[in-house]
Amino acid sequence: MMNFEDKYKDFKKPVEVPANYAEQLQAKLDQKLKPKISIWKVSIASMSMAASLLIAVLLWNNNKQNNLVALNSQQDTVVTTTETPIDSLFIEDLWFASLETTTLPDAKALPLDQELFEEEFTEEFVYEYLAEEDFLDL
Amino acid sequence: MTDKEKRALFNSWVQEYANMIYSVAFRLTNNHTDADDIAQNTFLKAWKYFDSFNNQSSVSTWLYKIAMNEAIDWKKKNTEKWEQGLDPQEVLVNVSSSSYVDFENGKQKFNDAINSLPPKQKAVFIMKFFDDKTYEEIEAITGTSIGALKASYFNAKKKIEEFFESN
Repeated sequence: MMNFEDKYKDFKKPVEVPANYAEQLQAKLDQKLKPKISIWKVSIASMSMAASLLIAVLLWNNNKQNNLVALNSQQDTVVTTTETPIDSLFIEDLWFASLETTTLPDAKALPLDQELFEEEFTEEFVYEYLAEEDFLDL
Repeated sequence: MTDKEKRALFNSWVQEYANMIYSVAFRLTNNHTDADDIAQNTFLKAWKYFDSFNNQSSVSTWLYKIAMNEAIDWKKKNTEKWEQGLDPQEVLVNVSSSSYVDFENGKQKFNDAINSLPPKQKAVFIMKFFDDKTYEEIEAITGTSIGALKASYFNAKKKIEEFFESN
């Protein structure tokens, strides 16, 4: 008597994988794995160093993992990979006139400067600075 | 390993195993859209848990395991689709030959029989019959003992035979 595997071997046809499927899948994965980037633009007359630092701390605390933060040279823009909104109450405390956020479609175009943040804006440095300036009740 | 190196390795996995994952997902779901979704979710999960991959199993076994779990989860949400037969796109248009029609009817019935199996048994059957996995490999993927897998495969074959006889 013919065994099962031999009896139904004709139905054992390989799946027809779409042409160039790996490339198609790679493109979809690249899109989904691209960092979500937001620019937070703070519209105030002059943004002090302390205010910049406070935002940096806030962003840091909101998302300690995989969070890139950079301040641009004018220090009126904060760039972050987090999608977590900056706390509005916190913003009010800082007397910010308005806050806008823009999600950019292409992360590569952004002037991310993780190194600057890691080297100069360390958590310890920020907290010490804020405590000295009476911004934070530690 | 730097993030860049991780990503390069991950991308090489996509290139190497995309077809394998798609094939197993297609056999379990019977349609392209869902198979593609499962393949995407499999690799997204692999990326998420990249650091937890400890080389105790091969990459293909690890990915296969994730794909199986994704497919089982998908089944829970799509019971109706799971029980459907072949994707209409799978049925070829050339029906002029009677032997071809017989073959297609048989293949359809064979797929219906497979689709009537409980999810885990269906997964075991597909791994064993279509993908020629050894019981040791299936054990690594499912965590089920070899004895139980043999019983599951045996029962699956029996059910399929019975399905043919009763239909």
